[in-house]
Amino acid sequence: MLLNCIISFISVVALSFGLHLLFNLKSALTPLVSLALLINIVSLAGMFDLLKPGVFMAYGFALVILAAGIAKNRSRLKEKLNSFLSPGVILFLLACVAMLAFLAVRQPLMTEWDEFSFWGISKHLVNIHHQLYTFYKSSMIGNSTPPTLAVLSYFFQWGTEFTEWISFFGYDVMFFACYSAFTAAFDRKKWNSAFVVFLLGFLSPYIFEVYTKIIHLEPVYITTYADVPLGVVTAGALAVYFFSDDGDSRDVLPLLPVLMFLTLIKDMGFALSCIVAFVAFFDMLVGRKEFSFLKIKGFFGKCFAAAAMLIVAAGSFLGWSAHMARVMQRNPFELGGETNMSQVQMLITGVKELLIGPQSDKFVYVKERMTDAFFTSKVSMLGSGAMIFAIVSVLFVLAFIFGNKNGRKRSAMMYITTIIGFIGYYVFHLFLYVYIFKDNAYGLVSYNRYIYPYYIMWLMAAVFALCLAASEGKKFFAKGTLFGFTAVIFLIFSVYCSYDNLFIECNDRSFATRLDIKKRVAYIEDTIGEDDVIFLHCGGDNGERWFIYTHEFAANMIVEERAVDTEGLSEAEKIQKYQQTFYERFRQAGVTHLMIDKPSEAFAHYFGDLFKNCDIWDIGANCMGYYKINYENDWYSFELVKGGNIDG
Amino acid sequence: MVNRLKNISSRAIIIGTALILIAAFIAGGLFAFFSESSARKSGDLRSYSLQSQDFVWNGIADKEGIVITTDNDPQMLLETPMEFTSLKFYMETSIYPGEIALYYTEPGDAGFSVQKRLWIVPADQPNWYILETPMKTVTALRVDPTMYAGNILEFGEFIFNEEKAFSDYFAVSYGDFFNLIVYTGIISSVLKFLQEMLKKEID
Repeated sequence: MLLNCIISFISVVALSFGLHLLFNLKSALTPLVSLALLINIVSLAGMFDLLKPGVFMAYGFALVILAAGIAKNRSRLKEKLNSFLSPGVILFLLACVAMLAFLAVRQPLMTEWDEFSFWGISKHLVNIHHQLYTFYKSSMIGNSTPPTLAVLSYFFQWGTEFTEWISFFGYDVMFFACYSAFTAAFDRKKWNSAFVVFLLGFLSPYIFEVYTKIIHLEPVYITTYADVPLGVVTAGALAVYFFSDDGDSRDVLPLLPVLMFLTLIKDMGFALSCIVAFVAFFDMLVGRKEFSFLKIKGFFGKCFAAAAMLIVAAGSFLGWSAHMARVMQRNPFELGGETNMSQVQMLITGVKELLIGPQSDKFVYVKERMTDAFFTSKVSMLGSGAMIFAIVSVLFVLAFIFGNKNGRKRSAMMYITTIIGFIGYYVFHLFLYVYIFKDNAYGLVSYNRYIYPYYIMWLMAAVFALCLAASEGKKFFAKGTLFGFTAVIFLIFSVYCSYDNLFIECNDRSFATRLDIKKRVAYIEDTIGEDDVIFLHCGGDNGERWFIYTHEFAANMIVEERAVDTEGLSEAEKIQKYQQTFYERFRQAGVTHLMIDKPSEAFAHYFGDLFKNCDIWDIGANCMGYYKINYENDWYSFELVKGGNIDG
Repeated sequence: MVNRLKNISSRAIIIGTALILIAAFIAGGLFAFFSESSARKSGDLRSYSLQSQDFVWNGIADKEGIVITTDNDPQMLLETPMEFTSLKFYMETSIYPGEIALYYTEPGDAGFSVQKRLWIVPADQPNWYILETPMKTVTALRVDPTMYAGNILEFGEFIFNEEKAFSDYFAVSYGDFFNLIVYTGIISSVLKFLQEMLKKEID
């Protein structure tokens, strides 16, 4: 297990070194670029149902680039190795090794709700089937989500059983690769600035995940959610562009795989990729005088570079859409939800309604709520969105003041373009709430989670502007500001987070529900067949246990419980209706077995007489039961296969 | 002197900072060991064990021998002035307990407050919970054993100020490693910055 993980990690490092040798790419940027390249190769292969061979293609690619790089630099390998070990790369390597050691010893588990409905179970499924989740039916919902993160997890454990902490490690390698890119403005002499920026990167998810004093574990760095990756990788993409300062194709070409990687994280990744391309294009216009793209110089070179970025982002998005259409026979452009519009239709309708009108009541209400939320909703340790904007503004102004002539122009342009990008991003979410979300749009459901990826990127973009000033402008003041800002952030972080909130001190108490269910799974799993289709009943559950079971038994189909309309019926008629409805559903879904996590009074009441060789309560209170469903004479009954106390 | 400061290498700054932090950690352990040892000798710090009935209960009821929480903020109060450094207790719960906290008051405090709250964490043995803190004089303690009503609790003994082996004062947690890395990085980065200023390497 560990070997698989280490080999994949070594391939990332090998490709990083290879890229530095062969293309002289700034070493701090190489971990992110190489990780993106490798995962993109596997994702592309996965879309053609070649997931496992894709991993070998990726390994082969890393090896070829490394070999070519070594061949090219045979005489000055030591010198190149020395230049490769920049502060960013050293911090990347140390952080990855430390995290791997910690995760391997502590072995944390997934704890967040949506990890069991999609983000975690999708990775589990990919490992079981060695295929992307678009190729088969499962209990999982949302199998149209792009594959980057599932492939990232698979890449580190394709040859072993699915292990949750290895998925976390995959994510952490991605984060640390981005933080390495953040430091690329600083060489080894300026290691202290690099450390400070790396630390800021490390703290950035906490700034937005913990926005009130909490008393429980906040699983940053041990979760498989996509929101923080979205923000951090967007910032990483910007860093790859801003700190590749050769003034030629090397400024843009390394960005292309990162844009593809970002686009395929989640649907919103496409929007963020376009924003990165937008910011980069205007930066090229004002800050890159001698720029050439594939030997095309001047304005046209910049236009071609921007076009290349857009083509990669749009191509990735459309490629995934085409894959879905081909494999799942579904129209990938329908967003579903309340209006079931396509993306383009939604944008046109939204812009029309926003600028020309008339605006529906829902539109007006959500617009006002979102405007209000920007000023009043606390989205971070630092305060509301308006406060983040104020801090970002101050940082950009200081970067402008302390920058050199060119740095000033770039800072000013970056500030303007990121504001425009934010408006676009915010308005896009307004449209999503209005046209896709149903009644929960009125409460701006998950508002913070949807918006903070941009804030992460925005805050780091302002820090990048300061980094440019600290390396090219009035270094003392810019560096002082960078250190001071980090100190303030670290202080606020220390106030909000105690070690109990951090992954570092996670303990079994944090995983109590998971451990309880794992014990039950261990008790029952030897009786479960590969093709069993299971109806699962979790008495007294709010849905959490049910979803966790679908994750644990990802290889099997788990059929969900649905309400039955029994209004106006007598008790005897209700029982009859329940049994009949469930019978029809079971037949339709091909349910072969019933699993009872905890019996409930209601279930016993409506289905008690269907239990043939064992009363539902006979298995006891802290027990678990697995029953075969016998279909005879157009009816059904439950026969106990295994049941009893899980502690033996 | 200034020249010597200017010429300290980055490696020496980083390693020196880490060593100083490690030394500070050891010194802290030694200080705790000697202060607790002398407090034990003088009789100020005593180890003793109590039963759950020795506390005043709020939001917890004994219903025919079954101890059950009756609201979402159950509390166990002990108004005994003492030198306090650790608490370890046994507790089984029918449902997940959630956060377990200890509040304390020191001489002059009007009442319990979140500023004087410590988290109790699971110990190595199943169903044992533990809290360790630098020695302090407390006038009252309050244990909040769970966050939920309807939780059936089964308590064992509550051990205060359990005597520790010498090596326990230097036990290293993951958090300590994290501290060492982050603080070494921050402090040595600042020192390097100051050195750069001294060398006028930055304008």
